[in-house]
Amino acid sequence: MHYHFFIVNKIGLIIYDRYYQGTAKLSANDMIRFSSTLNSVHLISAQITPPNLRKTGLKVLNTKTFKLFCYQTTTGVMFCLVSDPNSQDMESLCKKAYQHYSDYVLKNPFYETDQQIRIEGFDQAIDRLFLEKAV
Amino acid sequence: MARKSSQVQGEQIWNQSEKVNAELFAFTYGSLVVKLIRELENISEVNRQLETMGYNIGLRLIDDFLSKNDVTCETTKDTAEVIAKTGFRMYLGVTCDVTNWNADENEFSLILADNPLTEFVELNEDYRDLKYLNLLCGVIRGALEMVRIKSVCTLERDSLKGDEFTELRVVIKEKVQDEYEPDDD
Amino acid sequence: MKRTTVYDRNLKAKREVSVSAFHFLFSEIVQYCLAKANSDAQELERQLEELGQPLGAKFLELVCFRDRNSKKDINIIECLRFIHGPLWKTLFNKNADELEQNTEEHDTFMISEKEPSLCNQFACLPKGDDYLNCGAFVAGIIEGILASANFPAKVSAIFKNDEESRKTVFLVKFNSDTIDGNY
Repeated sequence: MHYHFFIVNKIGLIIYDRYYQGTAKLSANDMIRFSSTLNSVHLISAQITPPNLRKTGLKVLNTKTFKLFCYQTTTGVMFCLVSDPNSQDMESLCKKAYQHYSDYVLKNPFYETDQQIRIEGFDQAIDRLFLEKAV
Repeated sequence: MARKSSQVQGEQIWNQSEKVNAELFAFTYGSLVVKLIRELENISEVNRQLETMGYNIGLRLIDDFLSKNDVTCETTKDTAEVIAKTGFRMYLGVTCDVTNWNADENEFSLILADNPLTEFVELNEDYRDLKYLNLLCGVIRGALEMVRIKSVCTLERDSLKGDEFTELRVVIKEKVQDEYEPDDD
Repeated sequence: MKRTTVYDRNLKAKREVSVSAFHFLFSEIVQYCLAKANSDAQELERQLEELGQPLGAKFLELVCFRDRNSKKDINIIECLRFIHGPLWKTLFNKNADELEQNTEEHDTFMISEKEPSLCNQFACLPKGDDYLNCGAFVAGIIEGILASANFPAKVSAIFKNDEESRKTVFLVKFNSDTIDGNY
């Protein structure tokens, strides 16, 4: 089950978010706080990486009730998904979302890079990906 | 475990991808070039504009490329191979040869024997300064910049101007190391 | 060795590129025109039509050359059928959906295509903003074909929303002296 999907651009701003299962939408202020905290955690994780190991930044955050997964692209965009703790394949779902992003968002001439994404076709593709088929 | 060669990967992604009539693509590009010649002051402006438009495309195209391919480029040689065998194949259906490396291995040439963009194109004398394929140079520069490689790409030889083949020269200026490794493993 | 030139090419050969290559090129063209048009939708559509027009004559020649059954310019109806059938097949790998004549204005025909079409699949504004249709580029191609077949017409691309689906209608309005005696 998936609760929340969002995209963070390469300068650390959330440019897209989508909520499922009745999850409450973050307010604009909370969103800024959240994305900057996420960025800090990402930075800290690099700092505490033991020597001679790859610094991959934040990838998974586990709690008893949910799991946050971050997929970072080579170009610096982050695709993040909040799901229940038993969720599998979060990485491949995020990669799939990356493909939809490169189709619906980056091939859209009316989308301005690094701005908020408001594209109907993209919403539909993302919903198809994260909405449970059977309840 | 051996990684798939760039060639094999290019072949696979090409077979999977949705296609469109190459003439529609080539004529659309031709129509753009004619529009720019009509609207801009001189041919060097047209060349510049084509490169800029390619650059803008490259900035976006790289994510499309990375989201659909599994690649890691450790060296400039890897990068060149991926552009030539996977990149060109994935989008244009053709591959290039990588040649003419300099001693420092930060400059190379891409040789295009066959190119769908120049289908049915002929340049007359008035346009001998036109760099018809400058868009491709821009795409390479833009795409590399997004993976933190600063480069310059120029059209060195041009089959539209009587050269036996088309040669794009890529010069890598600088590679900026990223603090993080991406999740592309 | 003899160099191969454009004249040596096998005209019958069918080539393809990835649809992504077209989308990126088209998207950049739209962005360029949008800047030129100072974000004016009508002016953007006009520029896209203008870019499409020269493709018409080229495809008319090519498709007729390849397909012996497509004879050129018999009459208006034949020409429209050619656009709706063989041409659409060549350009988009499918037939267009409907070809109709306006029951009130006999000089007006409609070719419709279900969305998502090639030009509108990604190059679209949010829902509700139906005032801009990037199919204007295809409208230009149709206009170019009709012009080189000597049936000058004005073609425009407009969205039409049904309850469930959305389509683009290419409205073909012939010049009044075209329609007399040709149909």
